[in-house]
Amino acid sequence: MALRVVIAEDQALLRAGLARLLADAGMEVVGEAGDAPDLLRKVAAHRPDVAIVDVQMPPDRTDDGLRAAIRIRREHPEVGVLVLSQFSDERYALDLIGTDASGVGYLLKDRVADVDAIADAVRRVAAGGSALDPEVVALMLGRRRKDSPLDRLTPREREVLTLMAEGKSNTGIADALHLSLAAVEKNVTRIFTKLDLGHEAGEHRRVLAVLTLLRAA
Amino acid sequence: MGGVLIVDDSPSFRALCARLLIASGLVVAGQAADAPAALHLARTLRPAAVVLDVHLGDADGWQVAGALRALDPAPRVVLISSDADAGDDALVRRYGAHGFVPKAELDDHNLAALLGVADAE
Repeated sequence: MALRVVIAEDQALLRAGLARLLADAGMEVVGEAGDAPDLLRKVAAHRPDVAIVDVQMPPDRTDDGLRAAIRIRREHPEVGVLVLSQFSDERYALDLIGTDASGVGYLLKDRVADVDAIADAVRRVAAGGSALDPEVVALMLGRRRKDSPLDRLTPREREVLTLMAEGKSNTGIADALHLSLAAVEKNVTRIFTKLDLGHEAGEHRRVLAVLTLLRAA
Repeated sequence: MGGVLIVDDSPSFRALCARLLIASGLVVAGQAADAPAALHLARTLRPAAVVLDVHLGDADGWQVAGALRALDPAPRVVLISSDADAGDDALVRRYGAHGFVPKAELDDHNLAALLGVADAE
């Protein structure tokens, strides 16, 4: 069955373009909202698999979309939430994720130029996984302190860790790095050992583990 | 030759606008993110119409519109902006453009109509 999606974006042209993009990717757009209150109404009415939410929306055009997204996660935990942002804002991403990285994503708006990337993120979020923008992950990895535990990682392990933080599965990491699944699994095991992380089952749990580490690192 | 050239510094706007125009049966001739690329592509691709953001980094979209309208053949030019005060009918006339639409009022129907490409080819 096609994934059911609600879109919240205040610019009509972008909203229509996004709806077309998702329909072309085989998804069903069941509702379109132009502001935060409209989004909350349509999510309650349609109970979509995923709500795709622009951060800056009326009425305040500051972070109305983000606040609505956080509220949807609290009130409708079964609805996945994918936030699209103009900026790679680490704090916004962390506020959105909170203490649970399941069924949530934070992507730069310009990713919509890549249909496969956006469709993949929607599917991951719908399935209870996570999708964190590579640029946000790079920011978090880039500003770590000296003597960070991350210094213990080899370059390859850092690549794998980066893709883990983005929410990719081992299969997704293997595809992205042109490695075998077994090789990825070995890297993941070494990373968890080197960083003293508990070995978490499920991609969204390890996203949270990695984010917690990055916040402290 | 023909089709629509999309000029906007936002990759997401260009991508979604292109998708909509194609879905409306139009041809997207090309995309540009700044004024020099816009003028270069307009000269080489000779689009029938250009959708042009008023804010292009350092450049003023109205000046770019004037330069586009001086080409031979000259494309139709529709200016857009997220700032509703960035244009008016007087500016549209002065630079020989075919319309100005704030992005808040822009949708696939009025854009296609203003571009006039449906009946221009």
